[in-house]
Amino acid sequence: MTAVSSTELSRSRRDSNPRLRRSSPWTSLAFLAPFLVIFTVFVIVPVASAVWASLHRWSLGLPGTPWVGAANYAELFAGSTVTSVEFWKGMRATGIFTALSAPLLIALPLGLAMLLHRRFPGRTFFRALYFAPYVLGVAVTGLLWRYLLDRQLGPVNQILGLDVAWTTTLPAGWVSLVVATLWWTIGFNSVIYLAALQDVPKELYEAAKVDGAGPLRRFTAITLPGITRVLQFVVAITIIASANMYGQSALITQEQPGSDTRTAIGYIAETGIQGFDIGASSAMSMILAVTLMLLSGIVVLGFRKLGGDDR
Amino acid sequence: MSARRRPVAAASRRTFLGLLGSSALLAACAPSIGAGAAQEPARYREGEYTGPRQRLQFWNPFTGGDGPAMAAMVDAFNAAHPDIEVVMTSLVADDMYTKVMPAVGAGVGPDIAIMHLDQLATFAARNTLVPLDDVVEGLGVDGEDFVPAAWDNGVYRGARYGIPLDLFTMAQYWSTDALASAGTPGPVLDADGYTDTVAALQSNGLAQPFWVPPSWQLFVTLLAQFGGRLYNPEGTVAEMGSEAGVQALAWMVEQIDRGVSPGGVTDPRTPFKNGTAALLADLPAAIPDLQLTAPDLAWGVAPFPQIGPQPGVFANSHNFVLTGQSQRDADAAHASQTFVDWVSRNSAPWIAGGNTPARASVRETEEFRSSPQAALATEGVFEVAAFLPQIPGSREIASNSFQRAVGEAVLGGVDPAAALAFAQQTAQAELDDVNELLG
Repeated sequence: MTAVSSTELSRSRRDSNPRLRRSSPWTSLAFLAPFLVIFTVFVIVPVASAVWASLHRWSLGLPGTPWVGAANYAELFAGSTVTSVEFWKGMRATGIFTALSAPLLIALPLGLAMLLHRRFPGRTFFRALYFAPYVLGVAVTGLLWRYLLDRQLGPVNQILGLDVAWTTTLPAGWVSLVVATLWWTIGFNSVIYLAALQDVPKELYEAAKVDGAGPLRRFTAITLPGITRVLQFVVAITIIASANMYGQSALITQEQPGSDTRTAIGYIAETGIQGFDIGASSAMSMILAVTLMLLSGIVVLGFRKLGGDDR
Repeated sequence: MSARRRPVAAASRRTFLGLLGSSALLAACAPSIGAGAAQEPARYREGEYTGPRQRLQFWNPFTGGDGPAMAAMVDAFNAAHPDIEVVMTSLVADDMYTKVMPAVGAGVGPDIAIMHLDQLATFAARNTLVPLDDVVEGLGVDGEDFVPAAWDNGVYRGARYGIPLDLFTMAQYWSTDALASAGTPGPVLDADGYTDTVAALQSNGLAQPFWVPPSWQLFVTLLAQFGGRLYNPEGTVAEMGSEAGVQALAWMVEQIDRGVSPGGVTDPRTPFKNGTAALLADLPAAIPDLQLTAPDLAWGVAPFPQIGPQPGVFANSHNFVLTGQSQRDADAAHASQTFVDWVSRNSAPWIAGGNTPARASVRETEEFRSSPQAALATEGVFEVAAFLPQIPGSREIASNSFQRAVGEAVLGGVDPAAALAFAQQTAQAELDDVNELLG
């Protein structure tokens, strides 16, 4: 009896004093604080120090780090030094990989998710099966595919009866990288699509069927609009993930032939971590980051234009 | 309240602008990046270390068949020195070289490390290593016992940074049975011998007896044989695109064009092990690998044949180095010196790793003379060994220049002359950058 009355009391007090309890900005800030600490330590501080580094001539191990303003950026955009030539080659490789892999990584998982969304025996098994490669690390995936695709010793050429240098020539190298990445990460996007498909009300499909809509029509009129928000998320995150590709080209093609499959991240790592040029590599990272932000912005705007902003 | 806040905001903006201005000023009068502020040299300390127990970190790149050999030496040292505990960490070479500088800077890296000879300048210029001149003088190590080329190359800007443990050179391996049944027992000695052996093997049913991967060590070997070099001795001019360079790279590509080797080879050891190929160009690191993974294969090893008009062979060496971290106090420095001196003098177990000990006194042991790599340890090889010169950042320059050219030509079908011309241009630009950076 007393307990009930005290709850009622507190409830009525909260209701009677909404200014203090509900709209105080400190309440939400207090709940956000723990995450903000983590976000600051692991995102804001590193990004800020990368910006700082990109404005200085900083070569690891040498004591001076003089301020050079935008000189690192100017050098990269001038495109005349070795660093800038190699960086834009890396950006080009990243662009090629993204253009080849992102559309497949957006479209194929959707098809897969629609298959796995149907009812059939062994559905759970297949859902797990297609997701399984995703739990492997990039090192395992890379070594596996490097062996599979070896020109002379790999099973792929032997089974297909081909003689293709999958890992050491172009354009076969790009095919290898895209296929390996697709095999590795197709399950991730599929799972996200699958969750979205399960949110599309079944009644809509039934109603559409009654109205005589065929499968294609049901897909374009119900499925796609129903998962637009998720589709936007998948498109943005897939572009970012593809543009951050590094491990596959380091392990499967080993950046061969020459350095044609060395991505932007690959060259940034080489400049900063192996070449110790922190200033230039930070500037490259900032250029890549800003490029990706712009691309993500275009994706968001594009989906808004499509009228996906319905919720 | 707002009236009170405003001046504060204005002040902070002014402070900010002032900071910006002063940083620009600072930049104007401090263009130096502080190169040349070298580490204090390590001082020689009398006798072996005794005193409070010291724990030392020892990093090396021995992740292959050579790891156990080094571990045995460290164990023997620890057993003989109760006051010192050396903890050994083996890392893949690339990882070790990326980690060592920040780790030493933070005081959590190695006190002692093994580095490749061509890496000494890179880490000396960036103040990770300490000069060892006083130490080697005090220890009475004057190079007399060492292979001269390996010893002489451990110096950067007048200071010694490395004490050679071993050296390794490009070698040829051959399948004893395959060559015997073709009627041309190994080793291959020169270009004619190579042509004859390949022809005999091919007519004996082995279509592609010598697989050519994009091995830059093979390129450097051939470059020396055709009379060229990567850089001038001062490390200021890139010369890899010379006529000799083009001939060397063209020879490698020719083996593929003539069908002696398939194209797109990245792993030449496996076909050698399973009998698809009968000749192999590889470093001595292949010795423990062949012993372990192809125990049934009968094979021989010898110096790489002289293909070009003069002898020459790629060479590199593992060197003991001391980092700045080892000099944190007198005891640690003394213990580190004791370790390097003892292991260097007692390096006989290292023979099992497949390399050639740098010390003549170890090479004279029966154990070494009966090892496979004894065939590689001739005065003739030592005389023509082509070590990479001491150039800071040499590995980054290499990967953007001649290593890439070899990959482009051997795998990508790019014309050797064009690939090397671009490589030379790139290497020259990077050399200029390094020399400008370090003054």
